[in-house]
Amino acid sequence: MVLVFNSRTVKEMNDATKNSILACGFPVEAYFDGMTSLGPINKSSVARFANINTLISRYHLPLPPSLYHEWIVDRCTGESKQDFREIIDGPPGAGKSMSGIYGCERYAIEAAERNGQAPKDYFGIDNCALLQDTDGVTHLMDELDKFQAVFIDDAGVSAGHHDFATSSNKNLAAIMQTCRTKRWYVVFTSPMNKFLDLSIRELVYAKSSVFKPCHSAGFNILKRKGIHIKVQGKKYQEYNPHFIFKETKVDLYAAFSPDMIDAYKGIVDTYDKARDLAADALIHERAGRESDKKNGTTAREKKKAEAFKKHKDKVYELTHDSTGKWLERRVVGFSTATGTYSMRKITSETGLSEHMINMMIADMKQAEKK
Amino acid sequence: MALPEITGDLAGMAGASPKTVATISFLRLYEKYWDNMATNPDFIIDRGTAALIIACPEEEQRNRIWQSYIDEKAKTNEVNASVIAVGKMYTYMSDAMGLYEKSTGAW
Repeated sequence: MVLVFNSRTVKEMNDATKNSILACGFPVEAYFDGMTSLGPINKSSVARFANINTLISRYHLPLPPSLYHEWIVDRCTGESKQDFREIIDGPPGAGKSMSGIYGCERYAIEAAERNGQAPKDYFGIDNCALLQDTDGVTHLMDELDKFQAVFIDDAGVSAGHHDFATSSNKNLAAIMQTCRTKRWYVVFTSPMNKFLDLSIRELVYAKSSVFKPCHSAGFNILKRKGIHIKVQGKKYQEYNPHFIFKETKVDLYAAFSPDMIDAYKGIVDTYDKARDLAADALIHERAGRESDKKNGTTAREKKKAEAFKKHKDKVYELTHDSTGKWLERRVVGFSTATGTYSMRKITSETGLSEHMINMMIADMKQAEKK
Repeated sequence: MALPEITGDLAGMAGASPKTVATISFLRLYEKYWDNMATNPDFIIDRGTAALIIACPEEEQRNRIWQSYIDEKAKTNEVNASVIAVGKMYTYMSDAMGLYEKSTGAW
């Protein structure tokens, strides 16, 4: 069982735990400070941090307090009525998803501990949107309660910059702009943050990138900075300050395997299976779309073909007499004329638009000529 | 840029930023201190240390370092106290001027 400390519970650390930490050569004061000094910024500082975290995963030491996630819980559940959104980027396979899920877990554990609930009340696999399109994400958000951690994996699918002016992206941006009252902690992942729609990017408060994946040791090292958009002249300028905790600027963060936390044992397997299914579905759907495009079958054409198939007989019946001859179209004002067909009657009986019926009639007439 | 003597022509550094001027001035002071400590048997350590510490721009910090020098001198000896106090001063100046950036890891 791996203990998860926060800055309150760490003060009650017993001697046995303290001795086991010291025996592994871990700097025990890092537990009490919630951070560890790594010397001057250079490659060695990353190596030093990696060595420290290797001790945690190798000897199953308790997880030190996460001042960052405690601060997010303060923000999302405090009186300020704020929420928090973060984006994690990194190359494919770097560990963005696992780092994001780990962050959501730390948030959930902290929020649950404060409110006397179970971590799964705040985050679970159901809070994850895996390769979902905008509809899937907006649907997920529609169902979630307040104070939840929401994980939107590969957000480029649901909020891609290629779809910047589509109604789907506008809807997602609208939700993001107004979901503050839901007080969520939303984590997006994307290979590059520019893959996300600009309006979503501008609504994010922090960006992290997987700086050093250490998968075999069971953790990743992330760089994390805040995002402040300021107006400079007539342009919007983005500033990325480091987060400061206890008057110390923090530049490196460790994210362990999500499975390490007891409350979420097995989440990686469940997630991987769900993601494989989502990837299969996405590839299948996109392949179908591409094939339709190659064959010249657009969604509009499909809809037209379906309408033709369903209503052709009815339209034929209403536009022809009993001998199969075409009736004249009834002119407005002569509604009682016999030997004519009424467009209004056809629209009301089939539910089709006048434009669609005209296309159908033209299609029938062309077929007759052939 | 060539380092001007501390008593020399600082005006020669007119194009440099105030931070650069301050950094070079402090490094010159430290250089003189190191030279004297290492080679000059007549060096009055009290005065040399005081001259360095007085250059600390933050009053609270300056008083704290000087007090630590006095305490350490009473406890051990002049050289030891001076080395510790000047070391503290150097750390402070390095932090204040960002001579090197520290890295911190968290979870």
